[in-house]
Amino acid sequence: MYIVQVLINGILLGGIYAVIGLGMSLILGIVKLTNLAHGEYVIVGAFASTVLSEMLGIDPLLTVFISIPLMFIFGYLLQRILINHSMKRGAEPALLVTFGFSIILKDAMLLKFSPDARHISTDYSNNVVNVFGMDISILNGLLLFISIIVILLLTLFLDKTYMGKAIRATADDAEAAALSGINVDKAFAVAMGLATATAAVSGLCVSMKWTFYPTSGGRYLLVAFVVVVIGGLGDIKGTLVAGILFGLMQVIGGANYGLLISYIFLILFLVVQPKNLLGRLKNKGGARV
Amino acid sequence: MSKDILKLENIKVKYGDFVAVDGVTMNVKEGHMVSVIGLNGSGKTSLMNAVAGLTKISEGKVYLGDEDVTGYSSHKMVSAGLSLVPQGGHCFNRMTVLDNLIVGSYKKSARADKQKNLEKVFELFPVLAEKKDMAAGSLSGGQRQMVAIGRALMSNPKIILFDELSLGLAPVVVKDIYATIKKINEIDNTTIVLIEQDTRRAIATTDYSYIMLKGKVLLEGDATDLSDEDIKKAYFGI
Amino acid sequence: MSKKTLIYLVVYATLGLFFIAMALTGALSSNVMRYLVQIFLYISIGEVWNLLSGYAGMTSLGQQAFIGLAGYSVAMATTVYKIHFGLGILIGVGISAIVATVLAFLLLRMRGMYFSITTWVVAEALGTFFLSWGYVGKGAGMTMNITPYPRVDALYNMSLAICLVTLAVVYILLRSKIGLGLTAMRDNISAAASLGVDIGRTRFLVYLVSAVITAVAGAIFCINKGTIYPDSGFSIGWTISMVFICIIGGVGTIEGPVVGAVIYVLLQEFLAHYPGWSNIILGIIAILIIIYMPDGIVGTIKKKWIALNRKTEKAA
Repeated sequence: MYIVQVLINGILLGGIYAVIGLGMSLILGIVKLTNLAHGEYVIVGAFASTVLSEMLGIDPLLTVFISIPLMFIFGYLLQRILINHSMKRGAEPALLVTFGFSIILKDAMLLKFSPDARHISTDYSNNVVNVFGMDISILNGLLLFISIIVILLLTLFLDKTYMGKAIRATADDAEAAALSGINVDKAFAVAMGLATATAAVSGLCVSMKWTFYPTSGGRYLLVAFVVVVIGGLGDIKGTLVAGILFGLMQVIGGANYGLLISYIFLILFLVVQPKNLLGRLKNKGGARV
Repeated sequence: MSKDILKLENIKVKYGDFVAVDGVTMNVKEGHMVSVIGLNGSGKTSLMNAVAGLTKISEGKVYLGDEDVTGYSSHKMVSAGLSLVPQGGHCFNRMTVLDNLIVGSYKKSARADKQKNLEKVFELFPVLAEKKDMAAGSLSGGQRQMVAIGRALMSNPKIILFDELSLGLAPVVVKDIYATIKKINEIDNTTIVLIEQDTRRAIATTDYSYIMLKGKVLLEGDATDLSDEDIKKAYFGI
Repeated sequence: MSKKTLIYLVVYATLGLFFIAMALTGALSSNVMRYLVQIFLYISIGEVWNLLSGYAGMTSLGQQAFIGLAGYSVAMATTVYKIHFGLGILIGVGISAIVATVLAFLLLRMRGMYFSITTWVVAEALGTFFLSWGYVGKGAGMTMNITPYPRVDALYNMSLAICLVTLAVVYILLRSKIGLGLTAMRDNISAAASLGVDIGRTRFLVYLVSAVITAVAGAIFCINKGTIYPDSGFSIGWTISMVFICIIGGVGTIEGPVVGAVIYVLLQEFLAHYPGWSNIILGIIAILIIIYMPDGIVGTIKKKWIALNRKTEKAA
């Protein structure tokens, strides 16, 4: 029974990992850019929630209403002003720009906030609810709920709205999209904004569930990468499955080896050529990124 | 006397040092069907890509009606009323046929007409109505070409450019598509520019033809004025 | 020998002899030598990163793996096994070469971002591993137990040596058949493949050479510092320096990393006054250069030179 409890709590965390991966998947799949700063975006989101909840004295869950639009604008402007230009120089320069950006953000956060560990605890952080004799963490459940809402909203946006369809079209064939009347630079910027907005949510979850440091970005970049590689690019459902898998890995590996297991899993997946494995997952229905 | 819907004045397109289009002037009248023909490498695709905003125009001016649209990016050209159906059709393969068409009405002024235009497209290409919920990538070459054309129509264009429509399609399919394009021209008075290698069909279908070689227009005229001999000479550069 | 090769040879020999002479005659103060040690070493790791990324198209974000491995090899050799540090360096090189070969099986199937992120992951994994490995003292790190400890002039000689060797190796490699293949790959990889360039072998060779040279330079860096920790040996900071050096100097040129290394070392000196800001400033400069001067200083000068020559040719 205890094992099942641990596993279930691990699966619940899958939602967080999925959303972290989703942000990276959006940028990689649509803008065809590897954002090495994505981990730092998540930490920015974590600090945003921490600072906002302290400053305004509100429950951290509410901070997303502020952090999401703020980070959307941040991502949108960054893409529009900086990254679109570097992409014109090529894939490698763009990669290096995001690398430079990750370093700048990390050190800026180190300067602004001390290198100390941070965490948001609330009254209900450690509460559990007893279901079928197992203690299920309420926080885990809440965070899963939030993650699912984010995924649903994103799916709806991409499926039903003009901009959403424009983004998907641009991902498929940027030239044809431009010829259809879509401003590709703007579509990329919106996609980036959305990705950064998901980082805001991821940041909230990270800040409430675990401790984080200004230097924690790298660890979440790894999470994003693993989820994207396993879940497949451009497949929201796949990302969710991969997130849950990742959650299980972490729980099985425990605090010490969880990270190592992720490294190994990742390398195995890359060797086995992920693209072939994930062709199967891709054929399931649902919103395409 | 119909006015000029598209005016190209001495257009030059250079890729680095290579001159792909070397001073082309064209006047396309509203409601007409015009063909631009020539061999591979004659510059016709480079010309159309530049006009449609995909590549830069090195010299010269482009007018859409009275508007100077020189240097407009692709999406601005679409807003201004010019649509290019590129070589090979190009669909958004992972999206449904319906979504492909809806994307076509992305420009603000065309959104209100989405439903009306969808019906029009489905009438012109009934097979698309059947397959509207299928992924565009699963359609045949000819059907994907239809999706691309339909998408262009959704933007309420004043003028449509077709780059090598017949490429890779079976003759009977080409015949049908050409007939449909003629219909579009007749019903909506949409100006059509066909870029083609298939001289015979192109000249027969259109009112006016330009024959290009090595980036220049060597010969132009009404279908009736152009003799086979002249066309052959210009086409091959003899 | 072509005119260009002759020029390079003359410049190389002149500068090489100059720096050797300076050392022999004792004309350089310890302070200046300290700077030069850094410059020579950064030139070395910069040149090979350039080879990897600028020519072979493999943007490695994990070269620090070899720096850490080599540094720890010297530390272990001198502290635990009490052998000469020179041997320690050789062991470090050997280990790096083996690791590079093993990694190559994994890495060479990957392109673009997969390659980059995997190199980073491997370096991170190594760092994490060394952090919890009792044999190397875990987080406490190790010291270089060398007696007598090499003075700055010995370090100067070592770093000058590796710098000259690196420049020679890079130059010869680029002029060789492998190098021509590389330049072809840099410009158009599928065309290169169709022309018979053995892409796999070329990439492997370049990866191996860069690992070995990075290891040697890394070992000397660590000896210079005197200590090594998991987060200094395997720090991403090494990659930051390589990226910065090559971008500001000019990716895809031999002179680029030389210029870049000099600027980097001087800049670090300046930035030492603003603790915590150095990476931020470096990052901002690097980003601005990528966007506005993508060929770096040397690359931009070269292009302007060519354009100028063409104009005078046309005028003639």
